[in-house]
Amino acid sequence: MSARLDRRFAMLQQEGRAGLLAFVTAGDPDRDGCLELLRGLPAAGADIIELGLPSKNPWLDGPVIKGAHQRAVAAGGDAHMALDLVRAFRETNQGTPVVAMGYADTLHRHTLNRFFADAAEAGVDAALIVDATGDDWRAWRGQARDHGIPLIPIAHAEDGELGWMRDTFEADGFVYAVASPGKSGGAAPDVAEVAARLQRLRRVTDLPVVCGFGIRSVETAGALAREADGLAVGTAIAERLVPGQGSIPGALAFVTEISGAMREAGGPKAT
Amino acid sequence: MSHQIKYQISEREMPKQWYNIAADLQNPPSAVIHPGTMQPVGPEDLAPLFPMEIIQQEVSMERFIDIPEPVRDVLRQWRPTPLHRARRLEKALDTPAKIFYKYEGVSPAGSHKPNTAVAQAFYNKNEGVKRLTTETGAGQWGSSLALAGAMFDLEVEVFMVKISFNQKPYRRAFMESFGAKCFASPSDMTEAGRAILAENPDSTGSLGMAISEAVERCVQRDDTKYALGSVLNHVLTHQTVIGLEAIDQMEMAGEYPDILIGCTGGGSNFAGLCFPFIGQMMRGGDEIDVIAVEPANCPTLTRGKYAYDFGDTAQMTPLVKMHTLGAGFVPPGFHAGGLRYHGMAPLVSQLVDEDIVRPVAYHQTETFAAGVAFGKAEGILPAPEANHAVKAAIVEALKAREEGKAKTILFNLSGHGNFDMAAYQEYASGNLKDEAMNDQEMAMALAGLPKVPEPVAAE
Repeated sequence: MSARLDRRFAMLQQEGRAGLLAFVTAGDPDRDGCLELLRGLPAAGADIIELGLPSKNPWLDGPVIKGAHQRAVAAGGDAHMALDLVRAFRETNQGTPVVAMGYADTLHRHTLNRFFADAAEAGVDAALIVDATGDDWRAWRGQARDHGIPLIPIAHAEDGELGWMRDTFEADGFVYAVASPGKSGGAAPDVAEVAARLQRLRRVTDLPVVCGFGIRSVETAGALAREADGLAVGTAIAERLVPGQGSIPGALAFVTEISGAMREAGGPKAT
Repeated sequence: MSHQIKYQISEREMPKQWYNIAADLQNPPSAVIHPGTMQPVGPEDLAPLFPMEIIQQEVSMERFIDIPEPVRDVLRQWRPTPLHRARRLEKALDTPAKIFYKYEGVSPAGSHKPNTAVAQAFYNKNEGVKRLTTETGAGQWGSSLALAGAMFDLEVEVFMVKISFNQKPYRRAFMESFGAKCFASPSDMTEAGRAILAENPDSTGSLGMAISEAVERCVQRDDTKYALGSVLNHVLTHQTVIGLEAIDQMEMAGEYPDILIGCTGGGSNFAGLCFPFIGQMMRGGDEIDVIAVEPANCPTLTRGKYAYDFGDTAQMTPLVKMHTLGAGFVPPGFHAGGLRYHGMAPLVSQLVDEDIVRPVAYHQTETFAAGVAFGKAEGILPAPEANHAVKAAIVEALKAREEGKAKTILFNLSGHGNFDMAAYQEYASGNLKDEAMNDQEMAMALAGLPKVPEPVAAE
């Protein structure tokens, strides 16, 4: 169990608001730029950081995050660099949890067992493998747990209660609920539909529920903040890092804006 | 037939005898105590309430008791009930566990309750009784006794816990269609009911109160006896047709349970499925993990005391040794009305006390989530009571998945939820809540337990 993650969700509950999980890809736009971004995120309003492990084939991601992966890979980004970044981040920050989020093939390249050991040592608080399923997932969860790292279960809309029970059984950390099916950065979700689904999911699990995929606008984030314990935002940050179109301060300013909207909306306890 | 779903035995193969677990217990069952004399009750004490044949069964130490032919004839209208292999549930859970359930919802009243209602009605009719009184929580027992009364031409009066009476108008219509009279309890028809209403006019009722009313109505007239739908030994014995059939059906399936699960309110459906298997285990058979599932808001087995207590609120019944939350305890109003009882079948309590049965408790909303999920996979929406067993079965199947073990799980799907749509509607709309237990109230009810000199083993 990650004490840092538990403390953060406890704090959010006490403050009566949903947490903002800011997703950035390790090495985007490059190593130093990424570290500057990571160090700026907590002050900008990010409660938890999701650090993407650069992948050559990020097949579940839309064009924007795919671009982020390409930039990161071009900058020499891989799982090693991601963990180096976490170590550097931890030099100045001990409070903000970091969730390593990646594809199975990236982790396999690092060799999985070593990854969880190294990640724990670097200061990673949880791991999320976006394309893990079935037996692999269970085997990996055991390995991750051996190093004190919760492997975050994913609740897909189409699975319904039974699948959610299956995938969240004896899990720890939090549950990642996919807001809209399809790739990251897709169409904005139907807020009412997602809200109803999150309510059903909450009856199946006692873990905090984080909702992601498709949350790009301040409006959507404000509306869903009342339904989840946390919201993950990635595409809207990455598109502000595209060279020539945005900048690190611009991305941080957006984080401040969306975090402000979520704080204003209040959390699930405020309804 | 590698993908068989239902394992059916023929009417001819329906059990001809009930199984009485008292014969196989290591320690004798605790004596039932008369609250006036503090001595074990004798048949004459029970005679105003029950026919002689039932009283004899209550204290019988015979392992098998013949089922009268007229009882088997009525039971045959729906028995033997099917044993299902929950293949679609297994697939959805991606579990190596083999999940079986015995489906008692095929009875005309929709639950296991007619198994004993028919037998009790028969014995009463046989001894010249004209009228039966009883209580009902969710309405399943009242419906079953109404049905049995119609089969054997007996008048039936049912005191239905008020919260259920209001939540389930169709249960009342069902009972009245079979000619029974149904009253919301607490009512103004009895001393017990009037006393409760005087103290709390808004009382939502409880099984304990309804029992007091039914017993009071019974002792007022010589031609009237009382029928209890759970808790007592004879009731549990009548329910063993479930487990006896399941033993044959599991054999057809080529499996034997590693884990047995039943929900417990008074204990009868749990006992019905599990006692015959526990008997085999106690006679040297394979070890089984036997799980009794109760609501977290009426945690008799997991948080109650194993002590002598009254079976009803007005303290009219004899004292029995059981797990109890105190006869004065009124559980918060939740939907599994059949599980809202302060006490427990003494035989089930004894098995829990002897570590042969493992009790667990779940909250209402998680059991409904399990029930809805089960319905989507298997096509049957369970009764809210049975949702507790479903929840435990899913948990055990997922544990088996974690451990990578192909465990065989058998649970009792004691009834369907077709009369419980108001509850499902509330669940769907998100209005179903888990009320917090009032620990202080529970402690007070437990502090009021009667003082009984430690016994006095039964002969």
